Amino acid sequence: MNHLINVAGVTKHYKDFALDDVNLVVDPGEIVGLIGRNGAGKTTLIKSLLGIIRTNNGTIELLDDADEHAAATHERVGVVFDICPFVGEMRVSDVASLGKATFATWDATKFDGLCRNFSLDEGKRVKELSRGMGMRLQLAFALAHDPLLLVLDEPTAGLDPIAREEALDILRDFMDDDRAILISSHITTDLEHVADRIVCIDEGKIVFDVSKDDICDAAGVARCRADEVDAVIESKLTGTDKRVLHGAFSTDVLVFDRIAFAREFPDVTLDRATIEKYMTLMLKGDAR
Amino acid sequence: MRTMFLCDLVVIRRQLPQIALTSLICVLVFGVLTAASAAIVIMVSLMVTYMIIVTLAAYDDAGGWAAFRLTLPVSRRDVVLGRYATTMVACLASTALGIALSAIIGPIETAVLSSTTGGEVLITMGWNLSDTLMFALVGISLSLAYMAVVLPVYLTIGTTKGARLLVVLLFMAPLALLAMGNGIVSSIPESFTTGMVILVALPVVALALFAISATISMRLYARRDL
Repeated sequence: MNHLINVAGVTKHYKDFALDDVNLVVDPGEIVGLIGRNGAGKTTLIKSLLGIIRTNNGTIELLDDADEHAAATHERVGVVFDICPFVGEMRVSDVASLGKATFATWDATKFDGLCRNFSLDEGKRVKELSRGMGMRLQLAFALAHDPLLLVLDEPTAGLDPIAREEALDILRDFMDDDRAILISSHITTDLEHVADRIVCIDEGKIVFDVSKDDICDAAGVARCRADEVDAVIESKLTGTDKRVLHGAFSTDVLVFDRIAFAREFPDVTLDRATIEKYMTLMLKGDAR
Repeated sequence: MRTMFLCDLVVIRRQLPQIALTSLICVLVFGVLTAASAAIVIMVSLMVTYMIIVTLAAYDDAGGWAAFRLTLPVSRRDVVLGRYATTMVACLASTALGIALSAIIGPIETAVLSSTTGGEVLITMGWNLSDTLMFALVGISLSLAYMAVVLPVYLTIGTTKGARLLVVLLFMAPLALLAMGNGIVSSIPESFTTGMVILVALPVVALALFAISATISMRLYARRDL
């Protein structure tokens, strides 16, 4: 299989917002993190590729199938939303019945095992579950039909650090060379732990699509004093499209090769880039 | 369609005892007040079918269930056809329930009426099987015709806006019929208004409306963003 997700030139127009010519590819073996501000278009993109909303232009292929709405395609896709979407009156055991009724590949034993591991009581109603338990129920449902692709929209939002770490462990366990995950999250530290690639969307457009290593291992943030700024900005190591953010105590400049920069400017304070800092500089930094 | 029907069944099944209890209470009150036990079947058919469908529609809108459902291996067409299949099954099952309740209450009612003057009851029609079956046919027809209007509204704009629109329709439809009524009634040949013809025509018209409604719903739901 070539791509598990292949989004090409997708647009979706609303009155006050548009997803504009979005391209995104997710290959087997990859965990791709989708980041961006609130209202940037992350959920719109995810809903588009799952067929929940209709796009105006462009093509979407899921699992090499041009019809992203095909029932057979969704058989191999697991989905987790930020809020547990199962009907509140349903019990955990009803969710199992739902899975059995809808997925040909449903594995009841696996679902029961996951529920036991997640301490999910099968007699509990969905509306009685905490946010963390609701997320666990969704994960159990998504994993019990042996998907090739997991699409997760803010799955760790509102979870405590331990529950978040457990969720990330589950995602790590799920992965192999044939599978992939697309995960949107505001909690960029989670993505630093699991993602291979980071895609940032802003105002409906893809702003950057880079490997996590390019951000967390290679890139850096130069904390420049006033007299250092001009020289740093002139350097080729800060790229052609300079990203500069003026702060109260220093001017931060995004550096794409931290090691080389440290050699060229040994006196300039240099921090390792985080996904959050990289995104902030790309979205809010002045482009010079 | 089968998958979606099973999906609806899983979602609604915990609510069925409550719906059945509500209708039983209504039937008892209706039976005591009217002594028109054969007509109970129409009431149960309409009431239970509507309660099931409105409950499912409300669940669709709550917590993103309708959106999540589209991520399951069901197409939009399946969602619509499944909901119409659910409606049809609910209609037939509730009519069967109505017949059963009517058959239980009817003989008791007849016995009570024959031993009293019957002065306290509002309407007295008694109970017999042929009337009950005739009312069952009318009940099914009315339920399907009503659902033919309700389903596209709920599937297309959801329960909140849909309920408002249906209230408007509820008031507008009788007014429109009143305005046009005389003309319509006078244009129908007298032979068509006999009981047997109505009994045959009513289900046919209701089924036709139901089928047209399903076609419209599929087209509208295909364009809906959730």
